Amino acid sequence: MKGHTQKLMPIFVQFLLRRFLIIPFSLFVITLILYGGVMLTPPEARAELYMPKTARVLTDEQYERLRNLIIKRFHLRDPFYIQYSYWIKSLLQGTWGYSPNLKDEVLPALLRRTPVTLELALYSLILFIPLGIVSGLGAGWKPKQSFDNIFRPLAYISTSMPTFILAMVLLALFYVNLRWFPPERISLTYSFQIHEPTFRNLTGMLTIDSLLNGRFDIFIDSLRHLAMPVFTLSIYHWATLSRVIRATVMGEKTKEYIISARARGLTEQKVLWKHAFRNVLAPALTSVGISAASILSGVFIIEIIFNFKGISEVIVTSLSGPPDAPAALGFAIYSVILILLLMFFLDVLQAILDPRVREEVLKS
Amino acid sequence: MRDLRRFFGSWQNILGLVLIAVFATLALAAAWISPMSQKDPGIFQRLGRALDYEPQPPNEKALLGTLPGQYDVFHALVWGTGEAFRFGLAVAVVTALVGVLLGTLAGYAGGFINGVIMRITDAFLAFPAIAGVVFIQQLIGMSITAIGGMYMLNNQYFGNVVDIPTPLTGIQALLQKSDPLLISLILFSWMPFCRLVNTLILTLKRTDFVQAAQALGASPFWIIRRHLIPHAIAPVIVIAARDVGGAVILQATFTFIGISGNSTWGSILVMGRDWVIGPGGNIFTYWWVFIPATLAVILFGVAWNLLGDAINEISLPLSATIAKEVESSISGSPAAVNAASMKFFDQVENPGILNKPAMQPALPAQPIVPSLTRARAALQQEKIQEAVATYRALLHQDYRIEKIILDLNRAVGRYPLEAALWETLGEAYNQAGQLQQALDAYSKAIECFNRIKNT
Repeated sequence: MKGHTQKLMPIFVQFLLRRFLIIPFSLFVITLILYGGVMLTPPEARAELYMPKTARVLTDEQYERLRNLIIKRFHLRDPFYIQYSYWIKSLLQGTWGYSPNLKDEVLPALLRRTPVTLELALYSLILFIPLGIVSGLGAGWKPKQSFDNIFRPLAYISTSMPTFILAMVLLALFYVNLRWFPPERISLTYSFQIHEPTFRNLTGMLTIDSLLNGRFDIFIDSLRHLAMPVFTLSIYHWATLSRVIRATVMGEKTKEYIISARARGLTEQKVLWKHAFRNVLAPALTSVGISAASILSGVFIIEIIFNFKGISEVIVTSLSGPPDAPAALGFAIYSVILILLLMFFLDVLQAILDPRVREEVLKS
Repeated sequence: MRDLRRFFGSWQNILGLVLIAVFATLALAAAWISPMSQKDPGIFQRLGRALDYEPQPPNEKALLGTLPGQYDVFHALVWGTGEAFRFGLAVAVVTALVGVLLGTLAGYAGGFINGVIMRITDAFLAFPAIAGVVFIQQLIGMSITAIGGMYMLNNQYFGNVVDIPTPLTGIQALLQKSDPLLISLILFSWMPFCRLVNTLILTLKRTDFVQAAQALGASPFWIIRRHLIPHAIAPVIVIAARDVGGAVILQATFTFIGISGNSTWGSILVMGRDWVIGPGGNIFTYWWVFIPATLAVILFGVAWNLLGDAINEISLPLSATIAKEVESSISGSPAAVNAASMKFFDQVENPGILNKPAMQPALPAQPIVPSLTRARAALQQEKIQEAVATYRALLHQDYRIEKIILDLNRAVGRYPLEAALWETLGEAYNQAGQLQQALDAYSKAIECFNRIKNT
């Protein structure tokens, strides 16, 4: 047993490294394309990406001079690869430019809003992954029977229900009529309290911070505000995930190991949870990983609808007023980084649960 | 014919088709169903005074009532259908084309090229469409302001302000005229197609009929066009059909949250959003401002989803055969014979490690019924490829091996230069347990193949 684990560990580390190397490569490809898009604009426009905070108070003449300086300093009239390398350098060192609409530098603005988005995303992941797995297994194990007959139309409606319509209906029902779940992130009274110096912000996530501060009332309040967005966000992804799992289980059911497990006299529950479950898990997590981008997109949309001031606030603000490329560009890169990290996390989770995945990656 | 009967066998398929037909009729006959007014033609048609803010309930002039500002709901709904079709189909068709092309090329080239293209595909997979939409809009804005124009979106006081003083250069004009959402969706949603097709092609490349075609000296273009794409296209059509509905829902969503897009159905909801919740929190007081448009969006999505499922259902047997072929070409047999057969494969083509698909298409276990008669008929008509495929399918079913061996022996007597026939014979002997004969047949196959290669 000991020898086995010793042999396993380096393989696992190797796997982690390989998976991690995908992140810089993907970022390279994405930034290349994004800067390719920026190259479609004239150099004067590209100079906006490097404008300092103070540029707003300059006179037209001074602004012109500064722009020419920037064009020279960052080689904005040179070929693509030179400009690109200067831009990457400025990304690695600086604060990703100043956004005139946000009236803030882009990277700090994004970082400050990240916990809000992460909180929303985490809660919905925690909600829809287990639910999706359980209901998909149940429906696929006995297709066209009682549970499946309820499940299929429900999943159908959920996948074809646009999130904004669901959000609108939920708001009308639970906010206007019942007054259970209000929109926004926190109630007005508490929103002052969390900015007081006695309330320590450790993670930025209100549900965790309030517990750490021993403020149970704020915890309950933030949960009440989270309920509707998390539900709206989860329902679509729950339906897609459980449909994938249902299809996989139906394929898996006819495999020989299931038949042999049954022949050995195991109970249905044991066959399902000890045998089929593990084999279904890998495709399920892969499907979540592939749709990581659409999950985060969904988070942004939900944030906008429910007026959560998360990362998406950056783009909403950037679109209200004069062109604001630093914000849009920074937002794109930042959300790609978040998605890649989420994919990495899911890959690792999958490898821990399914040894076949590790071996395959090392083989290829 | 049987496919048709099966297609109309379930009510979901019929419902999907009927819904699509209704939408298509609405789109095509919009000019007759709800003619544009002569005075001011447009999708949003005003039926009263603009300052009359309260939406009016359905009446004989406006079949589904009016929005705030007295815009006719029915008119906008009907004319929005065509626009939804255009947008959805444009996104689905272009993304499918790009995905299939890239996936096929990468899969057929294999090796390093495949690795690079698939890694790039994975990189694209990590890009959210919403970021693309905003980015493209900002690019347009940048290029307009850089030449001294004015570009402001959702401004607090003025709303959208776009003013272009001088003519734009070609690419800028193109950017300015195009729909950012359309570009963004096309740029960032072809990846599932590419991955799916790539997986299928890599799998198909190892099947016997493709190997046989290669052994017969078919050109790569011919193999891709004749053997690979036709077999990989069914699941692509399924996803594309679902994508049509998905794209329209996404367009409405983006319009609703005010990021981009000009979906008519979405715009109806934007105009009516303040009236969704009526007095006393009753959402049915002004039901006509949001329920018709909502239903249109939902039903459009459902219809394309159902159609996709229906196509999936009738194209199942095809995938089943592929799955069987693949499984059998990998499964093991006695070592010596296996080695000989591997050698044959190596000489025909270096298959490399079969990439385990990350996203597997649905592969059910429904066998087709190939028959000896069919195989013999194919041989008679000199369709050797088909005959080989049929015999192999029979072999995998353990169907009367002695008869197959007899047939094949006769066939190799007639066509002694066909590597594929010899190879099949080897496999038949192998399955029957006559290993010496199997080895002989395999070596014959290698010999034939070498001869073809040398000439």
